[in-house]
Parts: sequence; C-alpha cells; structure tokens
Amino acid sequence: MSIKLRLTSLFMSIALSAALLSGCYDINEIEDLAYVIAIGIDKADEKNFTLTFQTAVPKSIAGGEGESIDIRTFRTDNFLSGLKKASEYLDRRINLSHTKIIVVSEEIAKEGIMAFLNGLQQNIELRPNVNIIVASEGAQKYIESIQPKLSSSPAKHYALLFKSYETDFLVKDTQLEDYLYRAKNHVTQPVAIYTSIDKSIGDTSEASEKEDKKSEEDSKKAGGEEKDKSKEKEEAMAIKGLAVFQMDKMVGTLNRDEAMLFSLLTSTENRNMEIIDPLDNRFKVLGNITKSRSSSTKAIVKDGKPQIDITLKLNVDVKAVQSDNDYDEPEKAAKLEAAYEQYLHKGIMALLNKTTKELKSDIFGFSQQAKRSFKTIGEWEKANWQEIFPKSEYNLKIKVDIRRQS
Amino acid sequence: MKNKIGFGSWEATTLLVNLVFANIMLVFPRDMVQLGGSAGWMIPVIITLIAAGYFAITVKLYNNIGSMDLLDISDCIGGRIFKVIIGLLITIFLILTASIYLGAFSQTLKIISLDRSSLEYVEVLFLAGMTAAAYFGVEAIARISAFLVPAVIIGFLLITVGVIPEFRMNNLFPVMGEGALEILKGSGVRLSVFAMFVILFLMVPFFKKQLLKKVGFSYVLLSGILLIWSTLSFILVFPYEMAADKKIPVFQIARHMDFGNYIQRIESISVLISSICALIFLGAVFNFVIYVFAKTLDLKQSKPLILPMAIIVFSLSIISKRVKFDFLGDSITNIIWLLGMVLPLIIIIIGAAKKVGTEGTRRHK
Amino acid sequence: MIVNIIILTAVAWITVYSISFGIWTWRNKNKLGGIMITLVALIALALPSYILIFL
Repeated sequence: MSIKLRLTSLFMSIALSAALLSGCYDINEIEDLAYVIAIGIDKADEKNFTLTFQTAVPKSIAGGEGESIDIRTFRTDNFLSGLKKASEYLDRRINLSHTKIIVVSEEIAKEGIMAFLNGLQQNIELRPNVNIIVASEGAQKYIESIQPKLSSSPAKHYALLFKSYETDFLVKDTQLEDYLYRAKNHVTQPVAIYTSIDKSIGDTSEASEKEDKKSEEDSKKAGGEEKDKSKEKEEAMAIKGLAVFQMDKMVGTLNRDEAMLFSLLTSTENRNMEIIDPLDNRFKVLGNITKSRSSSTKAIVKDGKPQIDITLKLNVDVKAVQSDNDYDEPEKAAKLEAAYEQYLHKGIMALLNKTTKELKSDIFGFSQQAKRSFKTIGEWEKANWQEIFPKSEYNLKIKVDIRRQS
Repeated sequence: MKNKIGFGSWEATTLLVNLVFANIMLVFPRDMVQLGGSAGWMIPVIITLIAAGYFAITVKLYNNIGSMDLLDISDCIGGRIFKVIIGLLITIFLILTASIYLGAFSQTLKIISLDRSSLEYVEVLFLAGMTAAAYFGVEAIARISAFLVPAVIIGFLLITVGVIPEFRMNNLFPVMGEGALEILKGSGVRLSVFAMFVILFLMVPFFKKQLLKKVGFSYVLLSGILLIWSTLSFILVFPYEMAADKKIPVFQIARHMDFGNYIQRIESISVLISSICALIFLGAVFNFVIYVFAKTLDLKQSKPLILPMAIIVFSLSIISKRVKFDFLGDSITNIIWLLGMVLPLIIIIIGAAKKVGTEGTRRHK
Repeated sequence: MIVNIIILTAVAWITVYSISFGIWTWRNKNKLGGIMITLVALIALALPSYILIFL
C-alpha cells in the first residue's frame, strides 16, 4: 500500500470514527431529559395507584433561580404505563440514572412491591444503590416533605442525607439490588427504611414564616383555598426504623433502637448508642460502638433446627457523660461495661426473638453462614431455610470493652 | 503459499488471549454460575487444566510436523481435496464465530450505551472496523493487539480489583455448588472457550516453529488466569442466585465500583474495554476467514474476498439475532464449538502419524 | 424503500466485482477457486436480499 493511500486510509478512519462513534445519533441533551430523583408509589383504590415523580430542574440548580425540584403525581393502573404517562406529561424522556430513592406506601409494601420493582429493574439506567423507603404516611407525602433548603441540588441533598444517617443505623441492605436479591430468594429477607411523621421537628425560621404569609396572600388573590401551611411545614418526615419484609411483603417494623441493634449485628460501621448511666439513672451516657474483627456469627443446621452462635466483641469510646461520673476509673468503667453488655444482650435477644418467632424473617443473613455447612446447592435447598428459621436457637455472647473517655 | 509476513510470540499470544477475553466480556462468568452455582469458579480451573493437557499433547505431536499450519498438514495427508474440505470447514466455523460475536458485541453496546440506535447500525460500526482490519492484514492486527490487549486486560483487572470491598466470601458456599457432576459436565461443555486453538494452529507459519510451545502455553496460562479470576470476582460480588441472571457480567461488576465522590460510574470503562476487545477479536477472526479461504483455494489475491465475506458475516449476524436463540450460552452450540479443538487434534494426530514434517518441508520449499 | 434499494445496489455491485474476480481466477487455471468465489458472491447477494425482502 503506498504512503499516500495509507495516510488517506488513516485520515478516513479517524474522521469516520470521530463522526460515527461520538454517538450523535444517540445524543442526549440535559434539556431533553427529565432526571427523576425520587419515585413514589401509593395506592389509589382497588386497581389504581398514584405515581409521584420528583424531578430535578437542571436550569435552576445551575442558575440558582426558581425551584430546583418539580413534583408531579399521576394516577395509573400499571406502573410501566405510568412511567410513559409521566414522560408524555413532562414532555421529556424520563431518565432514571440519578434516581436516589424509591418510596412506597405502607399499604403497598404490605401487599407486595415486586411487580413495581420488576418493572423498574430492567431499566439499565437505574443504579443498584437506590434506597427503598416505606413511608407510613404515603409516598407522595414523604416526597413532598423533602425540601432541600441547604442544597440546590436535590440529588446531592439525598446523598448527604443518607450519608448523615450512616452514623445512626442506616444499612446498605436497604438498597435496591440487595432488596431484589433477598426478595426473590428464600433465604435472607429484605429490609427497607421506614419513615413516619416526626412531630418533634418543626421549621420555625423567619424565611419559612415569610413564605407562609406570602403563600397565604397569593392564594387569597387567586381565590383558592387557604391551606394551613404552618401546620403542614411541621409535618416533617423522619426515619423511624426499618421495615421488615418476607419475600416482597412487609410483615413488620423495627423501631430506631431495634434498627440500631440490627445494624450492630450486620455491619461493621461505628454506631453511636446511649444508655442510662449505671451510676446515676437520671442521666445518660453516649458511646461510639465499634465492632471488633474478632466478633463472629456461626450458624449450623442440626436435626432440622438452626443453631446460631453470636459472639460480639465491642469497643466503646465514651463520647458524652451527662453526670459527673468519671468513667476512666477502672471500677466505674467496669460498671459501664456491664451496663452496656446487659442493655445490648437484652435488646439483641428481644430483637432476635421478634424477627425469628414473630416476623419469621431472617433479615440478619444467618442463612449465609448456615449454607456453609452444606456441600451442594441441592442439599441446601432441601433444608428449606425459610421454613426452619423460626425454630432457630440463639447463643449470644457479648463482651464490651470501654476504651477511653473522650 | 509461503508467508512473507511474520510476527513474534508476544503478538501471537496477545491476539489469542483476546479471543478468550472476548468471551469473558460477554458471557463467561455468568455461564459458569449457571452451570456450577457457587462453585462455578472450579469450571475454568478444570477447563484450563484440560486445555493445557490438550496443548501439551498437540505440541509434542508437532515435532513431527514442523512449521506447517492445519491446511498444509491436510494437504500432505489427503491431497488437495482433503485440504479443501478442511479449509472450508474451518472457514465456515470462523464465519459463524465472527457473525455470532458480531451480534453479541453489538447487542452489548446497544444495551449499555446506544440504546436508541438500531442493532444493525451498531453492527455496521463493528463491521467497518472488522473490514478495515482485514484490509490491513493479520500482521497489523497482531501488532495492534500487542499493545492494546495488555491495556484492555489491565483495565479489566482494575475493575475487578476496584470491587474487592464488595467481595463476600459467603458467596462461595455451598462449596460444591451444583455438585461435582454438574461441574464436570459444565467443564466439558465450556471447554469451547478454548476453541480458538484452531487459530493458533493456523498461525504457526507466521512465527517460528520453536515459538509454538511458548505461544501456546502462554496463551493457555494467561487465558486460564483471566477466566478463573473473572469468574471468581463475579461470584464473590454477586450471590449465585443473582449472578445467574446478570447479563454482561463485567459491566455489572463495574457498576458496583464506588469510591467517595470522585470515582463513581466507572462502568463506562468497561464499555471502552469491550469495544476495543471486540474490534481486535472480530478483526483477527475475520482476517483468518479470508486467509484460510484464500489458502484453501490457492488464490493469488485475497483482498477482493473481503467485502463479500463481510456481507455474509453481517447477514448471518442479523439472521441469528432475529432467530432469538442464545448461541453463546447454549450447551449444544458450545459442544459444536468444540470443533475448534477437536478438528485440529485429529489433523495433527494423523499428520504426526504420517510424519508429514519431512515430506511437507520438501513440498512447501 | 429507497434505503433498501441503495443497499441492494451496493451489494449487487460487490457481487458483480466478486464474480469478475471469480472469472479471473477461473481463467488463471484455478477452476475450483473460481467456482467457490462465485458461490461466495452469490451468497453475499442472496442473504441481504432475503433479509431485506422477507425478514
């Protein structure tokens, strides 16, 4: 091949590659897409339900003017057609690549949410780390209560929100991929974040009061109904605990304390936990608990019954003591250790009994340990973990070590 | 037909390793989980050992053969007729391989990136690359793969290393997975991943005969490591119940990479790796389609064959996609693919028995 | 429709070019080669036509 021909071929290859492979045919402008940040699913009536979409307004996020989010609700009888309807209404193609949460109402959660999630999971845009939330007051109400005041980007608001919860009890198991895996298999059962109204949270800022007045005046001028905005603003949603599922149906909840203990058993993140001061029961002691690597969980199936041995070795860094007691002193530290051990032992055993006997749902993942004692998948499936799990017997050992007082 | 072009052992090795790597990018880890469950990682171990044994036998037999490729050996064994039969069989085998992989790569790219484009449009893009590679020749593809394939493999390894925090040792249990019998059956069926041994034995005249052993064992070793590591990392990230349904395994693994605010959504790298791997794979296979066909029929020119062959590959790819049959994952097609190992073995055994090495050298001088 | 015609025209041109190569090969005392090339050319015409017309 002559040099001229080679150079021409090379130039043609580069030009064609640049033109064809840059994906102009599939070009996606930000303005052409509706980035859905949150999806909400509520029950409307027997056959219908409402879909709520919280979409980001890119112009506003970038320019800082106007609302950064747009919330729309649609009534539909089928989730997939609801998505299509939303796309038509919004006049843009729905893009789920920045979806942070999927919220379902408690009613729907109790009936089963697999039909909805199956409709969503085929969409490759949807990230596996989308959080599943069960809202006791309804998904629409929950989504409307999320007002990102400190952040112009709603997606960032959610990311920071969940990051802040990590120090409490939020666990990775509430994410979409884990949920789907657990809901479809008869072993470890899924959990989801459970939210409810927290009446102790109220927005009493000046700006908020001014907004209330302005909206009252606006609605008077428009002749519309006056809404009691001040009361609505008080109804902020807060995470109340975890929703426990059996396959894809919600069977119960764990409160915040139980959820904290659940995360202590299942994750390795540090947790803040307060207990009543053993030396002065008027006050509390706040400690940061770290699970030692030597903690272990062993589960075997013996004579058709799971035997689960849990050994927890915990280190506690005392963060705050309301009383004047100095827990650096060895005798006092020993009392605090005993108090923590007693509190945790009681709490964890109650939690285990609740999930095992009452809810009959293995949310801890003991099945993952139990299957180690089986050689093949066939033998493991024959053991029928879901059926034998309620017969589980626990042997719990807790050892707490107070490391230092901050 | 004496080859005036040549390349070294590294080029040959990387070219062959890429042929196996293509399978890893598309379906291999998922297939292993479907066949073996949580013990799916044992299958590539067994396959690699069998492939090493297979190559050890064939390279030993090659002592009596010299620097001839499969077509030259067939010519010595049964004359022109036998050579034509074998040549056409190999050509059809390679054409089907190229068309199936063209469809598979195009579909992968369509699912991940170009979802609004039609499949045919995506296939044309790959076809253009494949055809260009054929015009440049085998040597060009071999030399390109010498520096691109290591980059692609490093990218893949970085992805698998990046998801190490997501590894769960519990996913390897139950330890025997679907059972020893299923694992052995799976190993037999999926030995087809080494079907490109046929290309190794067609490449012999391009590099010196002394390098055959080095190239072959390097190919088996590197491919084996990649096959085992890809399956192991896939199973460690996804429990077997979930892994069996995951399409495009490497892409699915890459989606789990998440380091703080800066390293997110790394799966785009897997798209780049997949595309480069696809172009080199298709270019190499298609080059050999043309080479084998031309050599079989003793053609003086081979370039005029490129366009009609490209059309045939493209058309077969379209037809295979319309048929909606999973050619890559199906057991029967995988058994048929074993032809890529069985046919060369039979020819080499007969050739070695007939000691075609000395006779062949006389004829081909 | 027009696109199909353009595609078929291109394919037909490639077929004619390949058949001419087949004829040249035949004339160069390689009858089998000539026949096989012609066969390949005809398959290269038949397959796209089948896809465009029937599928």
